[in-house]
Amino acid sequence: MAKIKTLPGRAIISGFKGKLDFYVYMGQPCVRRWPQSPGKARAPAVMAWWAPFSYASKEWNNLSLVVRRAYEELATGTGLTGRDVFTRAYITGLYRNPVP
Amino acid sequence: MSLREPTSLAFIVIPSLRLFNPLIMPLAPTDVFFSLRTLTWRHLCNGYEITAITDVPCHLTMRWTTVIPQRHHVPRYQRGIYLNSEIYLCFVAYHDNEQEEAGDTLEHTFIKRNWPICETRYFTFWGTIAGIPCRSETAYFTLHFDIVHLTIYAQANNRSIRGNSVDWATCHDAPLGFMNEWHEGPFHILLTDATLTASYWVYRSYLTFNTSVLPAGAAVSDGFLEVYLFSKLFTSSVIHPNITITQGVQHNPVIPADYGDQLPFTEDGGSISLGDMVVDQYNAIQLTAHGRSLINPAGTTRFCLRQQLDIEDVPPPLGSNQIIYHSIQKGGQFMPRLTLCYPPL
Repeated sequence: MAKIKTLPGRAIISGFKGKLDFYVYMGQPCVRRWPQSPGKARAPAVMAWWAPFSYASKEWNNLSLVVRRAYEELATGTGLTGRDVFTRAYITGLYRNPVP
Repeated sequence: MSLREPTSLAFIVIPSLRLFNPLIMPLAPTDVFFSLRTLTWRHLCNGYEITAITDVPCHLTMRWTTVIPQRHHVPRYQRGIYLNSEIYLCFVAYHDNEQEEAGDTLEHTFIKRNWPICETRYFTFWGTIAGIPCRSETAYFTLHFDIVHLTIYAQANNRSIRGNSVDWATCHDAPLGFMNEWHEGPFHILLTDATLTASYWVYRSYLTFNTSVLPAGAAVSDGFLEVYLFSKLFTSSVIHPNITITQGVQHNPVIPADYGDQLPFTEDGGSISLGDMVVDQYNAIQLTAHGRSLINPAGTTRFCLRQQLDIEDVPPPLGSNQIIYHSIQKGGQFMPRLTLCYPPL
């Protein structure tokens, strides 16, 4: 990612589509290589979370209708699905008050 | 900011944050999870029995409140626009109740009694695995309590039949018993007993209820039998303390042969310990699932109260395990009664 002084013209930005991505972050014009595949390498911390995330995604299919409806109701009015809310609840919890 | 053709581009390269993202915490051995798979509930006379099943053995606690949890949206600024996709929930003024089962289990039961009629409660679950708090939490669920109580009094044919012999097998297994005519005032007194004095004594008491008064479609989910105790003795065996409801096979009116016919019917329809029974008041015996299955919505329901020594065919040690309770003939607030509970139709 690099800072630039000003954003280039629309034609230049469009020309770099698929290679460079121009954007403004907190008032600062920036450019980065995007999309950029990190290849097969991921940080160990990232890879460690694959298993619970994958399990949560599959576990949704094992939930009864009553339980699924509860998550879908929580997701209404957001951009999330019931499955997303369930995944979040499974991995990180949902409520502000911490459990003992 | 205007867009124009650049004459030069000055770059300040900022290292990728991916490698140093502090938000990705390493997965620790203490990061344990559970998933709530199914949730069912059964109406009780004064609450609910809630059963949850999880994917892994864990110890669940039910957190409930009467204050509806508030859902808050947190706008998230992402690549130039605000997305309203983040939510968090507030669960306040809550109570925590542990599951009934000890240790880590797959099935979790919560018995919530003293739930006021027409009260709505919101509840969620959190858990531990081997004592370690799980990161997982569940969505919250809502239950509104409403129940119908139907009280039915015993019919006038309530009786006790006794067996008696110096030999336990002769006393216990006799095909014919003796109709008990021991009265309190002009009223029949009912006994359930297993005693050894100079000889063995067994009393089996028979109660019949007209349960055809149940409305069509009523699904009885809970119930209890109440007897008003006149006296009790608990001196024979403390390891066989129970007074138990069994399926009754009595005729109308009760006949001596009902004593022997009752012998094979030993399944527990509801029990209470003699140690918990109190004289000069009603004592409630909660119906088990088997007890509820004996309820006949199309006609009469017959019960026989037997003492545990009698049911298990164990000769009583010297002493008495006995209750004496009032019959329907006593009238007033003394009559044996059956209360059945079902969700509103």
